[in-house]
Amino acid sequence: MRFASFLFLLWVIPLHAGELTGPDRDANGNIVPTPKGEACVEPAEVMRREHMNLLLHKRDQTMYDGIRTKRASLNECIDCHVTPDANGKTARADDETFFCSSCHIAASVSIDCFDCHGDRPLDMIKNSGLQK
Amino acid sequence: MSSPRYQTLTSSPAFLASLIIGFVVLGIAAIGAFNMEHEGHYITGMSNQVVWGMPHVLAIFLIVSASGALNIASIASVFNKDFYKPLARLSAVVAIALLVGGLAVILLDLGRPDRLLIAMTHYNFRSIFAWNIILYTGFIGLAGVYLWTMLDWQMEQFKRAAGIAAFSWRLILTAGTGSIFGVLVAREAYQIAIMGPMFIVLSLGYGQAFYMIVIGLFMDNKQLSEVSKRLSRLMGVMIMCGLAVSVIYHLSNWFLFDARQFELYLLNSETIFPILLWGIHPVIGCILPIWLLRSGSGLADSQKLTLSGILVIIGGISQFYALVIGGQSFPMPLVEGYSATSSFFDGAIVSYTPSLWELMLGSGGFAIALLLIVFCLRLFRLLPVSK
Amino acid sequence: MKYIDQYRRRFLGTASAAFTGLSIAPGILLQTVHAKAVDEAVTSQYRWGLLIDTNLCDPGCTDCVEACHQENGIREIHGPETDAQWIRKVTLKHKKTEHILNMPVMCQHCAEPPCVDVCPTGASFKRADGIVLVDKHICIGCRYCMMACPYKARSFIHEKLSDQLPHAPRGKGTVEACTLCVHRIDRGENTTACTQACPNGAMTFGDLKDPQSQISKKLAEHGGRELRAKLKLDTGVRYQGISS
Repeated sequence: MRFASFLFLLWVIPLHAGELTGPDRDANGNIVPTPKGEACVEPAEVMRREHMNLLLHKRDQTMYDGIRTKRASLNECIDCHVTPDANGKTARADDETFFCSSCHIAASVSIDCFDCHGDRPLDMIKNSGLQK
Repeated sequence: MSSPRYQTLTSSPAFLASLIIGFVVLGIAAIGAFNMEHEGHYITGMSNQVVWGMPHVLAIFLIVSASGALNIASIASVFNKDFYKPLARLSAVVAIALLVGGLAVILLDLGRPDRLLIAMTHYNFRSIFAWNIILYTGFIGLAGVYLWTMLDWQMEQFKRAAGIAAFSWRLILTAGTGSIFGVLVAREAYQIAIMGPMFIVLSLGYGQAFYMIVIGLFMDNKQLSEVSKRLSRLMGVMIMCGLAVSVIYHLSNWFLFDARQFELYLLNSETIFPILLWGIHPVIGCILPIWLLRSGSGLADSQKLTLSGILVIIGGISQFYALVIGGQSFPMPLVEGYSATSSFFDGAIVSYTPSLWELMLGSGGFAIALLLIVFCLRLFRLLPVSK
Repeated sequence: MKYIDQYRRRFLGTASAAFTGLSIAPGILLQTVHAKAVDEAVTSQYRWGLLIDTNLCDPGCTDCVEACHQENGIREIHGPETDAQWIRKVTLKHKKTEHILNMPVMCQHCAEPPCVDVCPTGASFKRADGIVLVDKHICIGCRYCMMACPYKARSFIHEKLSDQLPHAPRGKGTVEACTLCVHRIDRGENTTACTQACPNGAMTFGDLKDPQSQISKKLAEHGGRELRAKLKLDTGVRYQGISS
């Protein structure tokens, strides 16, 4: 019995160790990456429910009408929400700590945005030497 | 003529072997498809030059054959030939199964197979490809209804109407499949005037080849002996028609459309195409099966039908390979009177070698068709009982 | 949806303000502001095109190709068979006189594009200002457009990509081609990466509908040939210096 609980602890502790040392988490234990800047284009409540509609609307405007304003532009989202850590690295789209994935993984909603869209700001790509 | 009686398939060795082979090949195909989807198409032989490869050759062949496989049923109910009536049910099942198999291969070869829903919801009605999606799903539906009218005596009254509808639909479908190539004005290999009709004629022989393999494997010998002679004769005619239309295709390319360089490339070059078009298609795919069906050479009816069906299919795949791959690997002219060279293979004959992955995926279409057929044979009374 | 409406209203407000501006002082605005405002939709008032003078195109020079691929984040991956090439240098040799010509070939931005006609989902489309693009959001990767294109202008992405540039999204399993540097045009820049990079000024970018544009003037003066003109596609890219 004692050995079993020892095994159980061995299993449980690493599972939750990240919560003590890792990225910020909300009350539900989901990771909340810190954005830069002061405020989003809409209040958080609105963004949580409407971000996909805003993005879709903007997507078609950009694609078909060539309207490339900054509001609701995926590139602007990335510039604010994909921020480098102390080592100058950012989370990548597949990581649990990536801004979009932190919720989308928890909610089991898969997105394919980052199959085609870069998952970090232009500066970071340039720093990596991939682009002049 | 008394109404025919039908039975379901028993657990014959052929049934069990088909199940095992079907599932093994399906598993192999799934691995191929998954790997292609996961890695991307660079692991195939396809490239920016030869954009449609082996999966398309096999899938288009299956789709064309599907429409032809319905022919036996059409002869029975549209043209009222009593002899073919007992054979009609199975013909509709083979048609549906081949179409599903072919479509599965096309779908899994897409760059984004996960976007099937988009393909179903976004239609560009100027695209013959979009029309084909409607034609294919419609065919499955119509052939299904037709099958229902044949299986359910209460539906008997609708049988002829459903048969005519399915028959008309299949003609449009095959012409539509041919037109996928026919509308490509950019490429010399494909001309709309001939692609549609050619596909319709070719479908008759190839569809019946699949049908003959199925009855060769699953129909009892007594029943087979009653139908084999007439089916053999019909098959001979279909094969000769297919060969004739293929000759017309090459002749019209040569004389009417002035695509002589391309014809020389297909018929007289150091590529695989002359071997396919002079050797495999006419000899193995036409002459040998006709000889086999006529002379018999001491084989049982079931062996004759199955073997000649397989030979016709080998010939047909060779022909489609030459048409699809040959048409893409031959360079398009950029400026008249000039030869072109570039880093992007302008003016160059491009080589294409199918990779194992795409062969695995392509074989899945055949496995799906086989499994669907044996499931249906087991579930429904499709096989006529000899009197 | 409320927020989108708000957004739309704001956008319409700006658009109508711009329109009022146009009607108040048409003379001034029409002549000085050639490109559209950032929040204005593109219109068929323009048709963008390229004119390439093959006499000025140096053999062996690939500056336009490199600039394009740099601009759009196209990198070498698995070799020339499967790598994307939005623009390529073609060497033409006259079959009788053996006269050699050099020229870049890219998407010809046809007025009647075969790729748009054949695309089953409508992912291939022509923008109001004549630029032919792929909406990769609805591209299923069937490659039928590549079969249909008479210029081999399109490339299929054969592998997973990462670190795409913000203005040039590209991804595995979809088809792509030259965008005529649409992101620059939308910013109001009157040039493309290839045009800018050409050391000899062999390429001219401009509005084919504006008779006063440099490209229209050059075309009026010396003419310009369409590649595979027999197909009657009315291409937006024209070539000079090709004798038959």
